[in-house]
Amino acid sequence: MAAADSCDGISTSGGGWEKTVTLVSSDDARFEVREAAASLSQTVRRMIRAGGDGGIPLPKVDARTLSTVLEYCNKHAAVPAPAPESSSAEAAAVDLEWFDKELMHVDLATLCSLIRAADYLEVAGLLDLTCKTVADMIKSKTAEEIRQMFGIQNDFTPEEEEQLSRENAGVFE
Amino acid sequence: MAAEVSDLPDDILVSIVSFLPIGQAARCSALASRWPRIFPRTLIKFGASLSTHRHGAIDIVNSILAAHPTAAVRYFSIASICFRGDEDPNAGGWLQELALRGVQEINLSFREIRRMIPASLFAIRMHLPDAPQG
Repeated sequence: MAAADSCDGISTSGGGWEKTVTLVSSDDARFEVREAAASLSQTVRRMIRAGGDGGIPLPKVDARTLSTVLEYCNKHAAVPAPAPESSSAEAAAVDLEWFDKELMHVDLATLCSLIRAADYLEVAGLLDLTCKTVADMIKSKTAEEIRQMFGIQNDFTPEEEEQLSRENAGVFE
Repeated sequence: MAAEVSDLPDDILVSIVSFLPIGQAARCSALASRWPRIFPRTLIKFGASLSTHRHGAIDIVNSILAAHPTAAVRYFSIASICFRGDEDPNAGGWLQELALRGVQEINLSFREIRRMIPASLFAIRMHLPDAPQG
């Protein structure tokens, strides 16, 4: 394949012209993305600045995870010419919130892959969203329920466990 | 598959636990041996809503700080606090303690808007060890 510059351009449906970049997943899938969306990732933004041909390699993110990350970025990146229908900023915020909620309807393994990807790619909004989603899953669950859900081995001795629960009881009961 | 969460790096577990109410965040320390080091790191952004607890909120703040003597605090916020008329708002020295931990912003929200905020709260001198001179 001919080496394509990582900064190509595509014309948008509105007739405008937008700068795009090509991102390459660990399993060699290529994604052409608006630069504004890709730049929500601080990691990608730095790589765009550094320049380079043939697309930006992201060896730590597989295609399936990257496509979800990009779905998030495309939705959250400021659209250059806002559609007249979505004139109200409040409606846009409600729409974004609904979008985020839907995006988080995934199993735990997928959620963890998204957390790792958001961390590596430095997409702050997505990292917060995914971490908050995990926090919501463990809210008001007992330690044993959390261990089961997350496959955590309780490696405390009974004495250590007893001491920890006593310390907490002293503070919060 | 379920082991994925326990494989996440500490930094990420800190982010996750930071989204929990502080009581439950502290209880995560009991999950397994790597977890006790997670909660103290969440105190860098110490946000507490403690109005549902039996002890006074400030007592709890003092206890948390005492239980984690090396935890740094940059931002502190507490919701719905209320001081009785005869109560020392700085009981336990939590404000100085926060200053020593490197706090940069303190956000207090009071439960009863009609009651006066104790004047002594404004009289507390915070000695910031690293405050720039001049």
